[in-house]
Amino acid sequence: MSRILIVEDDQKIAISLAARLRSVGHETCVAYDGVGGVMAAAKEKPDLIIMDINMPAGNGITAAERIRSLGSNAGVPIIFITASSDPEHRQLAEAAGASAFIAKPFQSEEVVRTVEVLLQSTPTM
Amino acid sequence: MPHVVNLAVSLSRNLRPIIGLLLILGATHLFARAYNAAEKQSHESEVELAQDRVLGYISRDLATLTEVVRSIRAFYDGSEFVSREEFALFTQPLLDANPHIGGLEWVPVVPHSERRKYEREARRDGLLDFTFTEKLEDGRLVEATERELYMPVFYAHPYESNQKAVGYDLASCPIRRHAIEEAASTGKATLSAPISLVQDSNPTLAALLFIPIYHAADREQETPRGFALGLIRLSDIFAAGITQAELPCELQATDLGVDEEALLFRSGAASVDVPPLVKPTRRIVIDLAGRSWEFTFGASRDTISHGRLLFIWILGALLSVLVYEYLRVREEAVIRNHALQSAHDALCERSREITRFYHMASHELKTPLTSAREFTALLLDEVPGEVNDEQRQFLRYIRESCDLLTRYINDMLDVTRLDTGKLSLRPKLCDPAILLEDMIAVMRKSCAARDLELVSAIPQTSAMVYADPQRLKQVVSNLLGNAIKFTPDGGRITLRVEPPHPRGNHVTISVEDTGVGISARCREKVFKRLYQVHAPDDDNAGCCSEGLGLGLSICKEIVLLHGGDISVESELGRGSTFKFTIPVAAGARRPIPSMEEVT
Repeated sequence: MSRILIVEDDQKIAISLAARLRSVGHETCVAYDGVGGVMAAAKEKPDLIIMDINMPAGNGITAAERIRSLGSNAGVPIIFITASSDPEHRQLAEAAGASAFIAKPFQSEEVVRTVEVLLQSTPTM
Repeated sequence: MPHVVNLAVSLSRNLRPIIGLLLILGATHLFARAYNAAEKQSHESEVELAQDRVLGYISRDLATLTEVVRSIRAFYDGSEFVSREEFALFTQPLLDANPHIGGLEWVPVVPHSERRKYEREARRDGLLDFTFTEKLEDGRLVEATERELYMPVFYAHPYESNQKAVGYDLASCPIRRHAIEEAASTGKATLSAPISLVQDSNPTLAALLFIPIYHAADREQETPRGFALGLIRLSDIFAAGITQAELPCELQATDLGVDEEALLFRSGAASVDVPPLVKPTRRIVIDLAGRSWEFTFGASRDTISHGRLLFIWILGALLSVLVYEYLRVREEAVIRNHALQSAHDALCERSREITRFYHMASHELKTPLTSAREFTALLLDEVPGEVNDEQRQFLRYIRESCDLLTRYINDMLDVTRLDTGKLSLRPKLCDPAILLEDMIAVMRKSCAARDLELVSAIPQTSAMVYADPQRLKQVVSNLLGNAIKFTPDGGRITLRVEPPHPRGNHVTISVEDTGVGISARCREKVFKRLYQVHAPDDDNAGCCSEGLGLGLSICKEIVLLHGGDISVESELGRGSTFKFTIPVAAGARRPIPSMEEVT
């Protein structure tokens, strides 16, 4: 069982993702913008973060950079989600230390699979 | 006010043509002026030459007159007495040779005491009513009054034209006497001022040339025994000179006497009473035999060739109109091109806006679609709780619709990417055989539902190609999807991957079905964007059509981007085969292990 932070401005997607991950036995918390995501990451110390890139208050890439700069979260795996297929976004996300990249519209099975892979390869804190 | 604006607009549009028109007209004017000036100059020099020729002819005529009269003096010098017959015999050949000479005469100096003797002698020569005569003021010739010395015309040749002058006492006329006295005092050939001949019924101007003849014994004696006289009718020599020289202008000749000027000749004037030449262009004075003759030339005629000038102007006007038209048409073309360009730019901008809109819209559609599909999936997986069989079936329908929507959105995005040139491949070295093997399992599910047989004719390995695996899968998935859609239940679909031929350099991938087939007419269009096979006007009547009509066009563009080619073979009612090629990666004809797999 791991603690997963979902940062996603679309409430419905956040809820569906959380439900899916809880159904496979993970603990989840949700933030709806970049700023909230950074605060939640500091407070909850998640084992993994799922981060939307396009958000109204503070985009995902900036938020990820902040989270990485927090000592306790430096090594946390981050999965980026975006509706944009702009290759530039992808490059920026990789530069910000993306562990994986999932394009919208995604299928939850894909997300769950990616989460499991990342959690197994990362030593649990 | 709008009129003024319109005028200004049309003026500004026509500015260049008008300038062109004016320039050509200006150039024509300058050319015509230059041509005129050149013509005038050449004409003037021609005229001057003709004038010089006239002067030459007249001087020559006077010079020969002088020579002829001198020869008479020489004749007299050699003989104390010359008979009337001898005079005629001597002068005849001289007159024959010089037709411009009007007459040659012998004028003796006769003292009153010898008057009767001379008159008798003349009558003896056959001139029965000969007498010394003089002219009255009314012009009649009468017997000369008594005076100390007479200078009568005694011999005159030719006699016929000078008959009336014979006997006329030249001393009775002041002008003639003046010339005679001048000749006597200088001893030289002396020309008289112009006189009216007594022998001519019409008053004709003539000039007389006198040379004094002395007695042979005493050459130094003061009084000559007589005078040799030559006369020329001025109008004759002037007219002949003008004709010969082809003088193209008026000529007036004036005798410049000491006291008064006398008109010698005026061209084109029958009467002597003519006004002086207006605007004389040249004035030349010639001194001959003691007199000065002034020649005045008038303005020449026909200085301008109006025909040629007119021709130049017509040519210039035509040329300027042509240039005007040319420039105007060109200007209009420029304006039209400009308008077309702006319309084109506007359309391009509009097209870009629409593309941007589609791109944005497609993205925005994705998020709600994702959550719709996710919640459906959660319900199907019974995460919130159990669902009954009917609920499960409905949820599946929702999920299928979501999947279809997802595909359409992705197609639309691909099209906008292709339009903006943003569809970038992420190529890797990969083996299509291995890549596509996975797809069979996924597709088999949807085939099973329709009782379709999906045959996989894929070898273990084919060849390494440099391709975007996702895009390659997209093409095959699209072709398989179409095959499933258009093949009736119970049909067969074959996915085939063929390694390159021994000498070939591409892998061929084909999807064959036993479906409805595509007519020849439709085959040409299937790869066109937005083309859908429609009923009933198509040969493919009865075929359902769904989707956006983008799939095959995207497939084609993706294959072309990879440097391959795509084609279709089909027979109505028998099935279709879609086939595309992907070039083998350079230096990788043989299968080599995949070098990377990024996660």
